[in-house]
Amino acid sequence: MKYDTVVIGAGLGGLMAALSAAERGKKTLVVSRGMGIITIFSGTIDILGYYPVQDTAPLSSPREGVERLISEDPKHPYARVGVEALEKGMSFFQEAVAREGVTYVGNLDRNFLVPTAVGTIKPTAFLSKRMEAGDVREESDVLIAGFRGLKDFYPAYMAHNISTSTVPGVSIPHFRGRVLDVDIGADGSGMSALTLARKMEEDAMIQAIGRALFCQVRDGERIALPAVLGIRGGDEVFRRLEDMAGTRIFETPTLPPSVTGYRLYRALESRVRASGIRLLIGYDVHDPEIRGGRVAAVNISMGKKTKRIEGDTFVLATGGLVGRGIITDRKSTLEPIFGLPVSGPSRRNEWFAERFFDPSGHPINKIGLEVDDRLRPTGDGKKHVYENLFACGAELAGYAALREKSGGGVTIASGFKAGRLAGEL
Amino acid sequence: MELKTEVLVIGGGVTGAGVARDLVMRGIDTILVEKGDLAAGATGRCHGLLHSGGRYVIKDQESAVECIKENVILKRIASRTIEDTGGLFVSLPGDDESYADRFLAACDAAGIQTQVLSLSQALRLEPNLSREAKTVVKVPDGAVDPFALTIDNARDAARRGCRILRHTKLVGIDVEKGRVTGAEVHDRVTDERHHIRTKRIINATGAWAGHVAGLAGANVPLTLSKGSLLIFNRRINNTVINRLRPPGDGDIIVPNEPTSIIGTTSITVSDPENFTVTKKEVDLMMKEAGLVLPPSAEARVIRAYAGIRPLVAAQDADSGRDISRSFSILDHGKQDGVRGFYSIVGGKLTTYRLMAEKMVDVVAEEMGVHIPCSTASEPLFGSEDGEHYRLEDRFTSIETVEEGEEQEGKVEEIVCECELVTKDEVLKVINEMKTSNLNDIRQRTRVGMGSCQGGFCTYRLLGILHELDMVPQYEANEILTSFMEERWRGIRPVLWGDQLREEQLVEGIYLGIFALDKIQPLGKKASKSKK
Repeated sequence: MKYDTVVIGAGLGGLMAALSAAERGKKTLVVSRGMGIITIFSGTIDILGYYPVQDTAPLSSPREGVERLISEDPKHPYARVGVEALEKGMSFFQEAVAREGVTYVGNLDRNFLVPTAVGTIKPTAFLSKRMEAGDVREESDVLIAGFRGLKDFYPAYMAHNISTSTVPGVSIPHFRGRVLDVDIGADGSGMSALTLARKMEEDAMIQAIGRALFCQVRDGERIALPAVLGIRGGDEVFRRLEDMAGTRIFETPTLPPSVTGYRLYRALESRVRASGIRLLIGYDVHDPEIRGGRVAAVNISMGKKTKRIEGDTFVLATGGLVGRGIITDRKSTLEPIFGLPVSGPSRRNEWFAERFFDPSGHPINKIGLEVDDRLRPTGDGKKHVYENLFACGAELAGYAALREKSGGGVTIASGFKAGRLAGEL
Repeated sequence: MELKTEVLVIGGGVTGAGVARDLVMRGIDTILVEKGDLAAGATGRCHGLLHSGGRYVIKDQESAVECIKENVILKRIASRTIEDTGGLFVSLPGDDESYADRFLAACDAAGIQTQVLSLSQALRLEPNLSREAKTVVKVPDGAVDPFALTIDNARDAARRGCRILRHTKLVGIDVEKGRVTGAEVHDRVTDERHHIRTKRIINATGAWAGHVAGLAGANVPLTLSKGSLLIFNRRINNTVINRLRPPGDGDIIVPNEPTSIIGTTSITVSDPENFTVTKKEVDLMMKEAGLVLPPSAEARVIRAYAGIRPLVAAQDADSGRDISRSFSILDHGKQDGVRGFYSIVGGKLTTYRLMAEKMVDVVAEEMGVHIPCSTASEPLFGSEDGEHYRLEDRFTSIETVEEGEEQEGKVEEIVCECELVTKDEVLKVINEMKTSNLNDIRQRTRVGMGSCQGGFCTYRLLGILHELDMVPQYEANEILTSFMEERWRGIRPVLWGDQLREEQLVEGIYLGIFALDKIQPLGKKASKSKK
């Protein structure tokens, strides 16, 4: 089989790369072992929350933060991607998911400050429209409503702890927690957020919850709910509940598996299919064939069946340590498909800081592939290893996504740019 | 508050709990104070090995004899806490084969039953054993749950009238005219101070014994020896596996609940609280485990931890391995001129009962109490039926409950997926103990002790406590971040491969979804007292 562009990995970065390559008219394939880690995480797209990373006050303008970061930290992926690709990539992302009924709001010039399920406050630049009303700078008080029998969401915990959270210059409104007296059909084993989100598509459930909310909510209060308002894109469940409750509602992401992440993945996946991109999930990618400084083909296997895939360009979007784009053992670190040089500490006793919550992060957080300005992995000589191999997302070296709150931004921007460059070659 | 007792026991490890039980069984009024949780020191940080004595039989016959006698007694009186796994001593190519002959002869002399197994017999018993094994000897080792053993002793003592003050720290000892007259203690939960009037104090604080003795102006010469251990995420062996060679590092692997634990090392340290498990220790134990149980090389290690052995100091030994594991009783009246002050140090988990008996004999004698010790025959509360713990029973009971209740349309909510702990089990502990302390719940249910090491269920525990309006002394998020730091100490040395990957996921939850990285850790803020 032969494609113009072969994207390895079906996470946020891989799907963005595929969409932007396909937009250039390229015949594109996405091949992946699994469906990426979007479904695990909260579905917010962080651009830059803190800079310098040790700062305790969130950045008000991600754009200004990124510009400063690019001038001060040339090894950061944002320095390779550039603000322009970040801005275009985010618009491209918003349009892509909007066409599948999932609305993301936000821009580079401000961070939302949204409450988390443990009552901390997190800066993030783009989020599902269903989370927008949660910004703690809004003055109105908040009713946090949970459900008896739903696992992993505790209104009292969230409310109690948010009263102790502080953000410089922000006066946080009052939050109170209530467990709604609604029968969600839990069987005592603890219902997962995904199951409840599916049930929320039923009319009777919307009616029951809408009524319960209307009874509980006080004048002037907003309502926080766990992120369970429907499993599909489209805002019907959300809008009907807001109408019935008579006030604004926002969703709060819960422990994995995450409904917001799931909706985002489904939207991107269906956009990818609608764009004529072939999507192969469940395949191991191995044994690349190299000819004249270029990747000519890769082999893919499911069980004992192996196929050879030729391509003009390849995008490596296999993720970082969680996605297994980088693997480790007791003695070493490795990029397992191409054996590309991995940047970062190789010796195990240098991988971690002494404290789990070390504000600068663990050295291993920054492990990954170094790339040139065209996002091609470089060897020790700073020259690209293969002319037609690009990399994006968590696989890139040089950033501490979780502490900077930059994961989504780096992944979308680098995925978008890698796909465009691959599509232009 | 002013309290009064005949004997005050300091330290809630297995020794202190055993001493307290023995005292009240002889009709002596007793208070036990423990600065943290029960079994929080060396007791809870050991292998959980019920020695047959084989380990010591060549170098230290006296310890070996103590071990086998106590082994038989504990299997009877503390049956609930013991899994009667049996043990193997295994020699591998390169080991001195003459050691095996001396070992068998010495076991005979000490009264330790042995059985030499053929390789095929050994492999039937222990399928993961190395095919290279040369001599395999079966001995009556066992696995004991040190938390349960300590808790059962304390609970039994409490039922007989002993007052147990947990989270209460000894801050001062009153000595007047060369005699103990009382002690000052600090309740760390309520932030209150109490005075305890007493004429006798027993110092059973293990690695802290020197410090506690210092409060009375007495001296306990100790060598502190760090022993590090690794926990595998699955049960690789069914019996205790020892190497048949002179005792060394990383040569015992004990099955423990659904895991296996390898240890130990022996490194002299100076501070009983600040120590870490090093990369060198981890690599050494991985290598040793791989030699005797080859599948361990592919198993995931979920945690590294270390306990501090309080060894009675000998002037010339520097590694700790050569110092006798036998125990000492110090009468500081004779030794330092502080009458009524005693220390019990050294020893090991297997001989805790004997240590308590000897200690209480001394105190009872001084008090003129002539009731003999009965702890060797009287079972602990909960172990009356003499039935040993069986891992399979635990999982069968979960299944039975589920099957039984399914018929009524009800199933159990699992709080900890790794260890299959249900919400009802957690609620039971919270209600019975009236506790909001995560360690209390963990020790009694095993919640958070599985492969994610509390990554998911700690949040759930705090959520449940909030639902019950049992918000602990500190804000939940401070507790959560402190817990994560404590957990980190144990998992940081063993992160590679899949375990590293899982840990990155946990980091993603705590920093990405929960954004807990900007919370001040516990202790950085001024402590708030709940009055």
